[in-house]
Amino acid sequence: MGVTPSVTLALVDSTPYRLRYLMTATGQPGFTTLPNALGVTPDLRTDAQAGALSSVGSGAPLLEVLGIAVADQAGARRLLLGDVVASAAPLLPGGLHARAKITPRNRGGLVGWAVDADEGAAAGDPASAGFGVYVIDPPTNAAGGEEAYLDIHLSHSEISSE
Amino acid sequence: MALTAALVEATPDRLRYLLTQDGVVTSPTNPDVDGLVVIGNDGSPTPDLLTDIQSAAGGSVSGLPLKTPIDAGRNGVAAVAAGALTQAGARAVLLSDDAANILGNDLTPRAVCEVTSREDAVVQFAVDANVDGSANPVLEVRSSVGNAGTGYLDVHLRHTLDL
Repeated sequence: MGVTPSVTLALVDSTPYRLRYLMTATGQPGFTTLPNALGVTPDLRTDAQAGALSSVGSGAPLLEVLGIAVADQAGARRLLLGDVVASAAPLLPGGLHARAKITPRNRGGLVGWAVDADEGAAAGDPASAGFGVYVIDPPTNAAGGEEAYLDIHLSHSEISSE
Repeated sequence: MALTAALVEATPDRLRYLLTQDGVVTSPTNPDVDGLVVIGNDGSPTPDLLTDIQSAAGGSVSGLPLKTPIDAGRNGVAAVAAGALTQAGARAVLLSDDAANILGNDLTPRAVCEVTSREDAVVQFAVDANVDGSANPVLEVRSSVGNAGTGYLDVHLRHTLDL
């Protein structure tokens, strides 16, 4: 039996421009990786493909961004968090990137969530090697049951003002 | 009441509320008294989802796209009959959380909610959806208690830019 992750992620909405996950803290310590390996959901490219298939001919813009290779954490932060300080060189023309936003859902989930990005293997997920992954930290000393939504937006797209 | 919501902007696709936590706590402390406000949906004075979307500038009733998910309880949505919406359905239409597959169709209009603290992490906010006694979807906004601070709640229609 595998180790229980610190956060469980469930895809609750997918569009060509945005993925929404419900995050639930389990009470276990440590961080949890949202992989990008075309594995079973939750997985960034798998879930973005689901959003693309549901579009009305508008293609797969978020999937295209998530499928760009990254060499290191700076590249992952540039591509997945829009952190232009981390890596000066844009990975896509026009600097297109994704970004992440957390919206707590219950009182337990009010405080303490954090999301970062890293290269998959460096984050401890060899199946995601060469691609960017999100690294999620639940609230400190979480007892389990703390909830929040994680939105992965494409920049300059719906409900994304940057 | 320690936590209040005030409409600050209304467009056909988005409602923005200013959330204010005054930091006053009851004795003994009760977070659901000091840190909870419900934005209703029955035409009551603002803040109320139905009242507020109808106030959107330039919008006739037929030109208010965000009103469609707000009316999900009154009019029914997908296979859910009018007056039969549950919390799972409220989360689907107001939070784009259709994990329960209530809507059954990805093209069914729905909203997305986001909260943004205005001061540096002094007060935190959470938003959930539920139904009132008439099965209309409502928003439950919670905050941390004991400190004063403000933030914004945005209720967007999905698939809109509406910057």
